[in-house]
Amino acid sequence: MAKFLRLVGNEWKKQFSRVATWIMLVLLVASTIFFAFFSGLSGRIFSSFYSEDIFWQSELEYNEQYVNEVDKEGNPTDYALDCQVRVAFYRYLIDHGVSPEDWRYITGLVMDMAEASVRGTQEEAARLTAIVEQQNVRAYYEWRLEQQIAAEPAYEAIYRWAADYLISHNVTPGNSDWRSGVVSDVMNAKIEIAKQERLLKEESADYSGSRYEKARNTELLGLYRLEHGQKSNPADAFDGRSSGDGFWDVMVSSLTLITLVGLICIVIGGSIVANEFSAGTIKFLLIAPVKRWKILTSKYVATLFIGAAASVAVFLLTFLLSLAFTGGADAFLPALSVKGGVVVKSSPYLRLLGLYLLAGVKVVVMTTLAFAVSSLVHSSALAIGISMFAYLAGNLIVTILQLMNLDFARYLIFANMDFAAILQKTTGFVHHSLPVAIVIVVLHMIVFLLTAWDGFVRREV
Amino acid sequence: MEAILKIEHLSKTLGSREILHDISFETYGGEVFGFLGPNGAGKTTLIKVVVGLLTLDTGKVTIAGKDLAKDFEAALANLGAIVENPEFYKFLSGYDNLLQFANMRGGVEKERIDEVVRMVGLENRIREKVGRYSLGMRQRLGVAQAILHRPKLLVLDEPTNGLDPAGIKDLRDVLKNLAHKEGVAVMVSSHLMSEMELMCDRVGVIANGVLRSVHPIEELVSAAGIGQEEFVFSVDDPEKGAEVLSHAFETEVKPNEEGKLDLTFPKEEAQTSLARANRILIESGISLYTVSKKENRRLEDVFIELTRGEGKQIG
Repeated sequence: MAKFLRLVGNEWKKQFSRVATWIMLVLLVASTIFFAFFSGLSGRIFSSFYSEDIFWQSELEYNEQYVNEVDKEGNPTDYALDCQVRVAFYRYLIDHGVSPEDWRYITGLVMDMAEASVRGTQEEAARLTAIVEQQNVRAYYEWRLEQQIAAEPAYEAIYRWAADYLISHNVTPGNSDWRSGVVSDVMNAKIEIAKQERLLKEESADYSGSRYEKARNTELLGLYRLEHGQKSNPADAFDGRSSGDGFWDVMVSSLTLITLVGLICIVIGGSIVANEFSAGTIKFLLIAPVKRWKILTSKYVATLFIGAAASVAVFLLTFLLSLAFTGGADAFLPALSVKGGVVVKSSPYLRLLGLYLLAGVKVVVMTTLAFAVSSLVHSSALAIGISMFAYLAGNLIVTILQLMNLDFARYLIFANMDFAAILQKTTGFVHHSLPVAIVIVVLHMIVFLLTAWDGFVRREV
Repeated sequence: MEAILKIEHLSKTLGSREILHDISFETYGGEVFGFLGPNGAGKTTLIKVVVGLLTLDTGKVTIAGKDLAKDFEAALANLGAIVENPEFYKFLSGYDNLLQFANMRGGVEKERIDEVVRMVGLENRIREKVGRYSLGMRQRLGVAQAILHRPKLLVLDEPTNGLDPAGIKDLRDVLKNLAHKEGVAVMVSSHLMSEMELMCDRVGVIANGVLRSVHPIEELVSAAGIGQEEFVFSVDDPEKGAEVLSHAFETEVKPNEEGKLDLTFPKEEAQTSLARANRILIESGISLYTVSKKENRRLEDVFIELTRGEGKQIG
């Protein structure tokens, strides 16, 4: 075993003494930084360049031109009234120095006040003006509650629950307090639940069990987070929604980089055997008192090790960058999900690790293909070319066959390497199943490895 | 004496051509065994079988008592070799290349690497990348890797290729030392008889895949008439000179194409005969310009004789 590890160490040393290897790794690191930057930091940087209030003055001036527009009877047109509303809105914002982050702006309260001052009753206008002037949160929630109940009396209890919670917990409206968003999600979920329950009772065809289920889960998760004070849920990032301060969005985005790790593995796997032949060094390798299959295995293991090390490097670098960019307040939150009607906590790191491993399936299969071709024909160019093509064009081939309604395409190796998609049933094949995919992958691996073995161990040099 | 390398009835066919036919011989610790044959005779193929690069069809190869086919790793653990050109990883330093070999074999200490590097005279350049080495330096590095793990059997394929005369002499000394002082069995192949004579204790001659003969080098040397010494006389009147010398030594002497006279004397009487020939020429009034001793060209003749008439040679 120690001897085998020394062989792997030899291969490792050789790969890392090549300039080509370092160029690939530098590109990988650069891509990692690029990705972390664009999925994490870019939003913040650009929002600091771009601020809404720079448009307010020009909007005000534009709308002022049309406030006196009248129709044939001499009454102000609707458009003139809209302009008056907008003029009142922008003037208030400018005159009172309201910032774009102010809750009164974000919730639309200032706009409601402007609307009331132009089209509403005097009483309502005065009430809203008082709320805005005094920045009275409680009065705002009460006013909004009245509006909601007036619009949908059936959901009064739900609206009341939300308003009570917000008032009793001193939640600032807008998006500065995370609880505001969660309460809103829970409220909407409760409404959806009530709606679906009614449809069920009416035995309506519009009833949707999955929407009901989803709303139940949202409600449970929201209530759990409110109760336990969990600011954000890392699980959202895994489901393609933005989560909290973006830490987990950046982490999940790093999965894309495994494709690049795959390219590196294919280049190394496709040349690690062929290069020995083209340089003539194979003779020195094979006259060592080591059986050929051990030498071949050490090369294979070294290739996979480099891929694994590159993946770990991508993970660690992304982790550090994400910490730096987002502050990392979310880094140690558990991922919340609902299982069997109960909220369960899990480690988002474990979940990410699982996704890394699933993404690694394709990398390993394609690297093994490169390795097999390389040891069969002793040409790194051919091995890398074939495997790169399969790696990058495989999905396209499957998609084309799929468009032609050729169901057999689901038995192709290219259609069976994305275990995550097969699990989520997003591959487009109705009959796709994970066990079949695993069998197909294993069979291909056996063929590839036997080819590599035959090409290397039995070949006379 | 125990045989280090034992080859029994070895045959090898590549494609449809039989490269080696029923070859058997042994080499022993403490001797340099030369493997002599023209290009294409099968030398490299035989060496590739011995070092495990090729498999044998029939027969048996044993290294230090271990059967190569059955006990591959144990057999090769006692072998050091250079096959064809010494190729190394150009992007690694000489030292790192040696480390690669040491790692594959195990049991090689850092001190041993330094010692071997000194032995082949590479200590000043060992940290440089091999890509910048000359062929001669690569040959030296090749020898270094071959002896790194103190093998009992050392196999070198055309080891003097690309070496300058000084390098050839150094290599000869290193190999002789290893054989005679450290008891290593050294096997070298070559197509140059003169090189073999200086280096080897025993020579096996191969032609067209058949081992013609195995002789101690002395036997070959005497077969080549090395027991006699041949002299070339350059005189002003070759015709007359030939006549008097033929008469005096009771043998037929004729001027050769260059107008010089060749004479052969038994080794032990060479000096007195030479003096006598001088005297006779001078007494006969013939001016003698030069007398020179002829090199053993006939060793090559023996070689050609041993390998001749076996069809075309393949390069």
